[in-house]
Amino acid sequence: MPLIELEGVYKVYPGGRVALRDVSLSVDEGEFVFLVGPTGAGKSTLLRLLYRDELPTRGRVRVAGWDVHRLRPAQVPLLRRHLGVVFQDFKLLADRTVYENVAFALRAVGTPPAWIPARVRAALELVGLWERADAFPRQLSGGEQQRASIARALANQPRILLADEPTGNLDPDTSWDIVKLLSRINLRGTTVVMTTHNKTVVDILRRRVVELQEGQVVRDEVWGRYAKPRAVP
Amino acid sequence: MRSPALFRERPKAVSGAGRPARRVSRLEAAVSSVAFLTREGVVGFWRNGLMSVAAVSSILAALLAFGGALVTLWNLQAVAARVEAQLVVVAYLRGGLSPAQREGARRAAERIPGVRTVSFVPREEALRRLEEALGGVELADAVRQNPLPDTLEVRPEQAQDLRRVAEALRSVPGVVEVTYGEDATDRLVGLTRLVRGAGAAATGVLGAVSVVVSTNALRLTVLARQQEVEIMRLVGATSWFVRWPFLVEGLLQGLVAAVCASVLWTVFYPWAVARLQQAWPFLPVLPASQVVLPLVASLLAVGTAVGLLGAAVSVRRFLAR
Repeated sequence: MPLIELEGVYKVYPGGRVALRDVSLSVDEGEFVFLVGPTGAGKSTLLRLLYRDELPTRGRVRVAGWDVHRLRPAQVPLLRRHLGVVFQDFKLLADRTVYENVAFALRAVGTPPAWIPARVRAALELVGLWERADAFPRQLSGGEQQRASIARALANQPRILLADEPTGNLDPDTSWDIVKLLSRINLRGTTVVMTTHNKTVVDILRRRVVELQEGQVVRDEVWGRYAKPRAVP
Repeated sequence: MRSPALFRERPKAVSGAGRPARRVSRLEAAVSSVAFLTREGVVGFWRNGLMSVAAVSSILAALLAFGGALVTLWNLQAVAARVEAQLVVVAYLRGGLSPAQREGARRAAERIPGVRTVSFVPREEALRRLEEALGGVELADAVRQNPLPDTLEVRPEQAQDLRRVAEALRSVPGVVEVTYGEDATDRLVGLTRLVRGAGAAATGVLGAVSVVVSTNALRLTVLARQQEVEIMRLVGATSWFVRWPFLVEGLLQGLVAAVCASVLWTVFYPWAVARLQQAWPFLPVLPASQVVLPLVASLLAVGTAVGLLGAAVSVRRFLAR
């Protein structure tokens, strides 16, 4: 059974704007998927449906065995424990150290305190940030902040990592580091779905590419590029 | 691509990593969560220093006003009760009743629902009282025989029962006439009822105002921690987990405000009573000994309730999504 499955999903926002139009998509466990497309194509909306920040107007969304489209509010936290989410703006708590930021996420899901130090360390070592565990977010570079937020997303050992423009605020070299990190995490078995505008990264990595345009899937290639090669006249 | 994962299945994959030798029971985990969240709430209270001061002072202002309304209400109630205790229905008995008949009338009056006490006033006593009221005139000399009838003085449990008790007394055998100063008494009872109602309404309104004020104050606290809430929700914290620190913080703010209000009122009330009695010695004010303890108890109860309620209301909209 696919780990992520969308069937005939529509998302219409109040006011009538159609963000997604009959989207069907299935992602197996262990896959790495780039979601590409112009701004406003519905990439972020699609991610938000996966972690149930939004509900589809129509259609079915299944994630890690949960029927997300008809999840009761009380069950939403249980779904989210299978997901790690990373954003363009990192969303780190400014008044806590890197260590505390990661530990906070573990605390929030009721992890026994005795388990926390080792889990935080494992997550920070994975992203190569253990040496900076006691730094505050403002003392870190953008890349380091994104790695801290990835560590936080992974601390709870989710099956799926969702990344919404994780390199959007970073320079090309740093972006590349982050993508390599995500790739390494994927090789450990975590399914990764990442939206991006970064053409270079997508073209070099050659992973599965799903392109959205005006809310519709217009391309789904296993070894894809950022854009369809233009026909040579 | 499908390599065995460190970050995949929790029970099997992470042997050693992030797992103590001893198993941790669910209860232990729950207790430690509650302890952690309570600490988060207390820490939040201190960390948001200025915000807490703002919240506490606005709750304090509301509680001071609430305390004022309460003190006024209690004093008005005491005055009303004192006035009403003096209200009495007088039933005139037919002349020439035997002692047994008089006793029968008294018993019948006592059986009327809502009657507190019935006392028999013999005509000799009535005459003596009249003489006293007229300023020590010897009426017994002036009139050949005592013109006054024996009477029953009936005090009802509650002032508003006066009219009903009077009606019932009319049908007691041996009673010829009943009077309770109809117009004046009715008006007085209406007045005391109005005073009570207005006092209670003012207290209620001020109580509601404190809830609104503290809700607004605590909304700031919640807003300041919006990002924390967002992240907690994102990583899968349950609603209770998100709510708890705010409830603790709200409770603390309400409690601190209530303690401040209690201290202020404990100092202010005796002082105010002393000043009032100096200025108007006959003004019936409740002594501090009767007021301070219940007032402090009410302020603490209302303060904590208001803090909790305010926090619950303001955190609700973050959890509604």
